[in-house]
Amino acid sequence: MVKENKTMKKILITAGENQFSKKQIKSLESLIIQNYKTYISHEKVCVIWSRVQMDDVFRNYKKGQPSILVIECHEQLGQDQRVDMFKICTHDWLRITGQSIDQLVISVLETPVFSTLFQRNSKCLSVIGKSKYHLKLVLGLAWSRVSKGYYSFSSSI
Amino acid sequence: MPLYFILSKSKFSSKEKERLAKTITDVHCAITKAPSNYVTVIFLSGYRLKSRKKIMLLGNIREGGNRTKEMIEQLGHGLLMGIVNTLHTATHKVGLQFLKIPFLWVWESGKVLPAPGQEPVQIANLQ
Repeated sequence: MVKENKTMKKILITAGENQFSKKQIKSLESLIIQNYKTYISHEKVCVIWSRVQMDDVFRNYKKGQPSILVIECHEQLGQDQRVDMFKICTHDWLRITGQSIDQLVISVLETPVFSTLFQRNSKCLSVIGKSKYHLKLVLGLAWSRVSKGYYSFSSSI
Repeated sequence: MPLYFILSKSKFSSKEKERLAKTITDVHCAITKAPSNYVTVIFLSGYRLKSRKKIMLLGNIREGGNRTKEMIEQLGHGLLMGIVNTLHTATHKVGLQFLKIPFLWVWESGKVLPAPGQEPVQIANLQ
């Protein structure tokens, strides 16, 4: 039996600061949520954008700007559903962003693994560091939602 | 995948970032035999770390295939020493954590990645 978690599921997208326009982000977000409902679950899902400075990312030794999508799913998701999600998200993502296929990494992680990943940065911090991190994160998300219409935060604080 | 995040309080210079990214990519590929085109390193600054650490390396790596406990320990040691030598810092100033992700859960370059250790076979099959 599929174990459903009652908290809202999350999709964490790491992309370059100002890499995509507001219009592109809204289209991507809307399609990913739609795909999530079709291929993974009808549960509510929240998309969070993690912004990274362009010169802070290296891939294959060189500066680059891959997009990294980490999608939370319930436990025991079938691999066929996961692969369908990979395929449709790749199709939509490349069409909207114009990125090449080698610049896109997608993972669909069951909740326990996703949660470990999502909370990991905070767990490495000192007490003061943790307070500052959470404050900046919450304010950043709220400000982004109000000013841009989507949730995002800067990965460097 | 692998995806390595480097958390630090201060921002590294461009040269330091290049050297660290090279060290991490070199060590990962030498030990796991994975191709370098899958290795991503992301630098995040402004993090006040626990235990007065200078740098924390968080690695998302695939599990399964040839990733034995011994190989992961060897990888951890290699990365730690590589960072210590690159930054000329003390071992206790550097932290490391791996998050192991089943290889079937990851999609990269338009395909589900093969089991760790199977990458060269897959490349050979395509040629």
